[in-house]
This record gives sequence, structure tokens and C-alpha cells, in this order.
Amino acid sequence: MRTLFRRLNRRSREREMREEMEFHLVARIDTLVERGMTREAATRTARIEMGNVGAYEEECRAALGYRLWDELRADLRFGLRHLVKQPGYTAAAVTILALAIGVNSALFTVFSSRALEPLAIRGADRHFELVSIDKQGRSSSLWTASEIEKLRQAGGDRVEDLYTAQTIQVLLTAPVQRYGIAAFVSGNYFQLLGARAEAGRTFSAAEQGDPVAVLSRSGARRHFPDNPAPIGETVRVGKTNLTVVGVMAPEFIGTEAVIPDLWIGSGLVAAPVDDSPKFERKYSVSGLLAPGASREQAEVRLSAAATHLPRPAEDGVARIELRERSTFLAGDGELLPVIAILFVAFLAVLGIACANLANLSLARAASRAHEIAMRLSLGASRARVVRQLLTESVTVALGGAGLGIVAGLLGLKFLEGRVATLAGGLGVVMPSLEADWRVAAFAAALGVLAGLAFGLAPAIEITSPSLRVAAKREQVSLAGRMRPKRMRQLLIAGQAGSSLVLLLLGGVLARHLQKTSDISPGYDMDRIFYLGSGAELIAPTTTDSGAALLEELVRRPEVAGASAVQSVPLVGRLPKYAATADGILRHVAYNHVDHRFFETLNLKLQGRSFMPREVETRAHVAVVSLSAAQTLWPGSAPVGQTVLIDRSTTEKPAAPEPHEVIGVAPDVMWNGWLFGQDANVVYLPAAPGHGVTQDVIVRIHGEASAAIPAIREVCAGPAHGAGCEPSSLREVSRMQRVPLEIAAAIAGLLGALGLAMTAVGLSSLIRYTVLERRREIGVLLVLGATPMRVVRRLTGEALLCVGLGSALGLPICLVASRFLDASVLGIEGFPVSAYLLAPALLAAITALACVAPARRAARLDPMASLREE
Amino acid sequence: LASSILPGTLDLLILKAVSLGSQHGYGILLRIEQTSENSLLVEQGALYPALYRLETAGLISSEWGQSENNRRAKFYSLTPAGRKRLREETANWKRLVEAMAMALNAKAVAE
Repeated sequence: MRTLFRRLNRRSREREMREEMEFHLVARIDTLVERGMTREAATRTARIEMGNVGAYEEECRAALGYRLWDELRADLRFGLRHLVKQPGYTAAAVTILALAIGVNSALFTVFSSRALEPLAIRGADRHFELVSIDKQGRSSSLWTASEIEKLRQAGGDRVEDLYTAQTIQVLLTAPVQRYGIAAFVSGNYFQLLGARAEAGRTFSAAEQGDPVAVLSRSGARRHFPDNPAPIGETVRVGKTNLTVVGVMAPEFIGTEAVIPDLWIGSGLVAAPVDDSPKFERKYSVSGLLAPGASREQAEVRLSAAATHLPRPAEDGVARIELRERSTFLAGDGELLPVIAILFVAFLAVLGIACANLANLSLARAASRAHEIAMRLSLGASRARVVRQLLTESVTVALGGAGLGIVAGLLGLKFLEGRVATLAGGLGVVMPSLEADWRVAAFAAALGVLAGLAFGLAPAIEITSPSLRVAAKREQVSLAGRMRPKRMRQLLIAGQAGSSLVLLLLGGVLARHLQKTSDISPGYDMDRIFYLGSGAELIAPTTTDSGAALLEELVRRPEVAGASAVQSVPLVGRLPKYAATADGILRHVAYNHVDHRFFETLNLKLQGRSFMPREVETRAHVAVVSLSAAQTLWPGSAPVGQTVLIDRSTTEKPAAPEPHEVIGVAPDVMWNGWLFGQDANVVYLPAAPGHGVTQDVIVRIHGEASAAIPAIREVCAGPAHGAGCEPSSLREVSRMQRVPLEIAAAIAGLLGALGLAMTAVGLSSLIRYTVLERRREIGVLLVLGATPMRVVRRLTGEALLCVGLGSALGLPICLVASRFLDASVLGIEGFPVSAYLLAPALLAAITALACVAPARRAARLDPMASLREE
Repeated sequence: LASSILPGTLDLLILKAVSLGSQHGYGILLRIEQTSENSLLVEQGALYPALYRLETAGLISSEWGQSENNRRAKFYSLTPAGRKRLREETANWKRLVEAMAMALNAKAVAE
């Protein structure tokens, strides 16, 4: 503080300093005159006695702490001037750093706004998730209402309160039909978290089961765009009409990384279809610690109570864990390794950038050696010159960091926009990503670190004593001064290899994405619709209404077929049963479908499909896929065979039941793009609306634009009433490919970044090599080598580096490709185009990067370079 | 015969001079000259970096005032920390002088 004050006061301090010395001089002259000198002689004597005033003033400034500051300013000015004089280098360095720091700051922005920014609730630092750990160490966060009540009482003065919240996707059918996110919460939620309604009110514990809803600000804007305060309006979720009683203030967005459109009392959550008397609905529980209470104290209290809860022995709670949830992502630490890997990968890009810039700076050292040697000879200390050079590199790096923040943010906003558009279709609104002071600090820290990292080695190198000797001999040759060249070559090779891996991975994924859109799944993705309906939680479909819905659908002229299924093609993953045929046990995927299924997908069967009677009684018959037939009964006709299917689960043990195969269906694509394909499928009969068949698929006639409203009308009608949102399997597949697309984009981006850096690195390496070996090149030229040969030779060396890198990178790519090959249907493990294009691109860029410096080498005056020694 | 000051001792001399009462830079110089009977000479400009160092270290404090011939001058005085340092340094110096004297007066015993 004091030094800051002094600095601000600098001008007056300088004046005082001069005044003080002036006073001294005058007083001395007076004294000398008193002692009998003439004024003239006295003045001269006083000045001599005083000594070098300028030097002493400088020392005074140092004593006041001004000097470091002055030097820094001078260094900065000098560095900037130097950088401006070399626009090419400066632009390259700033761009490389901006890209490398940009991707890092973008990643950090995501991390910061999800894992560091506290939740916008009261007492965020006391917020926790209540997790039970059983004797086997398994964790669960679900509790029944009576258990929650007991735990609330047990918490006493250690726990302020517990609440329940469950955030799920629902289909809103009024005011406009669209997907939305609903949070089912206990009545004390709002009051406990200090959430304030901007208009209207929140609901209380007494209203937990009442049909009321509180909208979020974004929810209100989405569902009632023309009404800023839609209090008293109705929203319909499933079959239930809810009255809007309030709209929350915009800053309250809940505790999850998606913003709910509306909050609904947890009492409205319906019991599931499988409504056995034993079954009790369970809720996930969170809460706030009492102010001042420690987590351990609260855990001890709650554990004591939880171990005595009346639960079956195998479900018994061994202890309670309170997982800290002060931010969106805090808590169980499961994400930590993923985050760590991401940061390591992204920071590696910065590492490559720094290594490259260090190379580049070393190459530049040639042009600066003379200047620096001169300064050292004139008496500048080595530390002083190193400091000056570091100031320069840190300045560049900070410039890069500044630009990087902007670039990172722009990229992130673009990505966020893309993701928001996609998520918006599912009714998901995410809290926006904001760059805050943490991001700026992170980028600045990276900038300083990067500046030091790429500046230090070259600075030490070019100020080393042997260079000064060389400079005294008026020579700028750097021969014999360099670190082993092999190190740099390896660095380049490593870079080339890693950018090749990333490029190829991006290429393989992109090629795959392109291919998958051409693959025929075995059904018409544009005409098969999946009736998404998130209404089960509020009002389960009963057997009757399920059947009625299907009857109603098939009566429509726009509908070619409708069927109830357990699993929808491309959505999720088929479960597996143990199936025994001819005494051999295999695991096969299975699906329960009704009698209209094959006709709905438009599949031609060998044999026959299920009869309506068979689906009602769940008769012991089965249709198998062609692949399954070949696996189970290789070489013999499947129809008429018997397969033993073991449907027992851990909860419900059952004897394996024999099923007679009545038909064989062609192979079609089932699982989503990420789960891998399994064509071995056994179809079992089940009636519509029966416990297992909850989903409906529809094949349409004609245009989707005509069919979709018709289907919606049926869903909203008396047969169903809960509404539905049909989406074609094409759309489903498109959504599922988004993660792959993002992965391909990131791999491609990092690969391109790596490639650009490799090019810069190579170019500087060659320039460096040329300087280092000008004698050798001179000899070559004198001995009659053509310039072309010199160029070829140097370029050849660079290509060798890159070749080495590729040799390292290719096996990695092949392994990765095989892995992809095994995981996803139709992916071509070795897309020839990608495997030819990426290395060719790498080679082309290498050659381009080399040609300019190599040609400069070839134009060397051989006599001059030979005379140097 | 005038001798130049040993390096590092100027600070001690200044502290001593200031301890005799608040004084401006030139006055401090005169005091050093008088008390040492002109046997210790400083290049006068060197006084000021030393004063600034001591002030930054909090051993002396300064204040602008009027000099005896009615000019504006900066007066230095000892802070408590400076007083403590002066005591310590004086003791150190005495020990050093004694040790040096003993060492320089030693007779060749062996011969």
C-alpha cells in the first residue's frame, strides 16, 4: 500500500529529492564562503565534494523502489518496439498463443461456470446431497417419504432442513405442445433455498399435492411469450391441468445444470405402473447444513438415525454421506478424472505451442545475438538481459492471452448456440456460460507461464558467455552453441505424430458420420415416428388406454401402422436374456412387441407374425432375427425350433420357459449409434399398454407435416389424453450423432491447430539448421552441389522427422479405428480416403514449411559462409 | 589524515548523527565531520541514497521544516526501530574493533 502511494506520489518525490540536494549544495557553498573562499571557488569545491549527482539520484530512486518499475517500463517499451519491428514473428507468436490459450480458456470457462460458480441459492456453501452407503459400499440417493421425515427429525440442530427435488423432461400439452423440464419438489423447497417469486407466489408445504405450478423466468418466456406474468393461466402436463401461481425471479434457476421450465409439488408424482402394494415412491434428497455445523457432525447424526430405518436387510444403510453441492458439478468427484483428462489434453496443446515458440525464438536468436552481445559487453548484467528478454516474451504471451480469451469466448458462444438449439428441441435450457474474473485470471496466468516457458531457455541460451566471445570476434555464427539437435527433431516428430492422430481421428469420425447417414437401418427412418411422451410420471397409461390409443391411431388415414413396443429402434439399448437353443446357452437381445409391430416397421417375415390372441396371453412364441436364427441354429431352419428363455431377474427368479419360433425377421438396426450394433434379436409378444410395452411407434402415409398434427390430435383426444410429441427416427438418429459430431469437430480442430503449429515449428527448425550448418552448406555448394540439391536435402530431413512422427502416430490411429470399428455399426475402420488424405496433408504442409528457408540456404554465398571461421 | 569510510559504516554514522537530534542532510554531514574531527570523509552525494535507504527501512523518519538560514529543508530524526538498530550496530562495531585490534597487535609467539 505504501509503495503504491509512493509511486503515485512520484513526481513530488522527485522534486523533493532535487530540492534536498540543492539545499545541501547551497548550504555547503555558504559554509565554504564563511571559511574564507571566494564564492566562485566555493561553488566549484562544493560541486566536486558532492560527487556525481545523477548517479546518486539514481541510487536514491533505487532505494525508493522506483528502479525496478522504471526498468520494467523501459523493458516493456523496448520489447514492444522490437516486436513491432518484427511483425511476422509477432503475429505468428500471438496467433499460436491465442489459439492455444483460447481453447484452454474456453474449457476453463465451462469448468468455472459449472464447478466454481456457487449455486444461486441461499446458503450455497451449506448445500449437500444426501447419499446412503450400504454394507457393500454401494451408494444410493433415493429415500421414501417416511424415511425422509425421520431423517429430518434426526438432523436436529446440525441440519437446517432436507428437501426433495427431481428434475425430468415432461411433455407440456398446453398452452402450446412442447417438451419442457419440470422439477418436482417438496413444499419447503422455495423457502429453504431462499427463492423469491418475481410475480405471484411460490407454493408451500401444504400445497405439495395441489395442481399448481411455479414457472421459471425462462419457462414463462417460452410457454407464454406474450404474457410477462401469466398468473392464473393453465399449463397441462400429461393429463393434469396445473394453475400457474408464480413466476420466479430470473436469478433463481434451481440447483441442476438445466433450468426447469416449471416447479411442481412432489405430491403430484404418480405411482408407477407396476403398482405393487410393497412399492413406495422414492425421492432424491438434498438439504442445507445448519449455519456453523460441520458436515461430519451432521453425518454422524443422520447415520445414527439411518441405520435404524425399517428396511429389508439387503437394503440396510451402513452410513450416510453428505456430498457437498455448492456448485452445479461439485460432489461425488466422479467427473474429476474426465475433467482432468480434458485439461491435460488441452494444456498439452499449449505445451506444444510453447515448445514451438521456444524453437522459433532460438531461430531468431541468430538475428539478435549481435545486439545482445553488444549490450552484455557494455556492462549489462546477464540477469538484466534475461529479464529484458523475458519481459518481451511475456508481453507477447499476454497479448496472445488477451486475444485468446476473445477467441475462446467467441468459439464457446458459437458452440453454446449450437448446443442450445439442439437442446431446445428437447425442452432443455441450460444456464448460460459466462466468462468471469476467474477466466481472465486463468488466461493471464497461462499467458505469464507460457511467456516464461518459451522465453526462458532461449534467453539463457543467447546470453551465455561463449556467445559473447563469439560476438567480440565480430561473428554471429551460432555454430557449436546449440543443444543437441535431436531433441528438437524429436519434438517436431512428436508434434507431427500427435497432430496426425487427431486429424485422422477427426477424419475417421467425419467419414463415419457421413457414411451412417447413407446406411439403411432396415426401415424407413423418415416415416417411422416415435411418440415421445414424458407424461408417465404424472399419469401412467393403463392397459385400456394404451390399446385404445393404438386402435385410434390405426383408424387414421395418415397412419399406415402403429405398434406398442418395449424398446424403440435407435432409442436406448436392448436388454439381454439368456437363451438356450440345442443345449447351448447364449445371451441375446430381446424386445417385447405387439402383433402389429412387423407390419408397422414394414418387415417381411419368413413364417408368421404374432396373433392378437398371442400378445394378450403373452403366449410362449417368438420371432427371431435372421442373425439370431443363424447364431442359435446354424445351418438348420429356425421356424418350429424351440428356444429356452430365462427371464429371471435378481428380484424375480423364474424357471427358463420354452418358446416356439414362429417367424424369422430381417436384421434391422436397434441400438443407438453409441451403443454398438447387435443384430441377434428375439421378439416376444406383449399386448399394448401392458407393463413392458410403454412406447408407441407409428408408420405414416404421405407427408409428415400432415401426419404429425393428426397423431397429436389422437394423443390429446379421449383415448389417451396425455399428449405426445412424434419425432421421426431420422431426428432421433440425428440427435444421437451429436456427441460424435462434437468429438469429430474437437479432434479436427485440435488436429488442425497441431498441424499449424507443426508447420511453424518445422519452418523454424529448418531456418535454424541452415544457420547452424552454413559452413557445411557452403562446402556443398563449393563442391558443385546445385541449389536444388541443397533444398532437397534439407526438405528431406524435415520429411524424415515428420515420417518418424507418422510412424509413431499411425499405430495409435489403427488401434483407435479398430475400437471404433467394434463399437458402432457400419463404421469403416480404415477409411482409405482419411488414411491417405491426412498423411498427404501433413507431408504437403511440411514441404511448404520447408521450402522458403531451404531456398534461402541454397542462395547462401558459399565464400562468405566459408570465410566465417 | 583523512580516510575514506569503510563500506557499510556510513549507515551507522548517519544513525549516530541523527540520534543526537533531528537534522537535515547537510547538518548530518557536518555532524559526522565534526564528531570525527574531520578524519572521516564522505563523498557528500552518497549521503542521500543512504538516507533514503534508511528511511525506506523505517529506521529514520523525515519532515520538511525551516533551516537555520530560513530555507526549506528536510529534517531527519531517529525512529524507535532506528534507535534499537543503532544500539545493536554500535555493540557489533565495538566487538569488531576490539577483535581487529587484538588481531593486529598480536606478536609473533613462535619466533
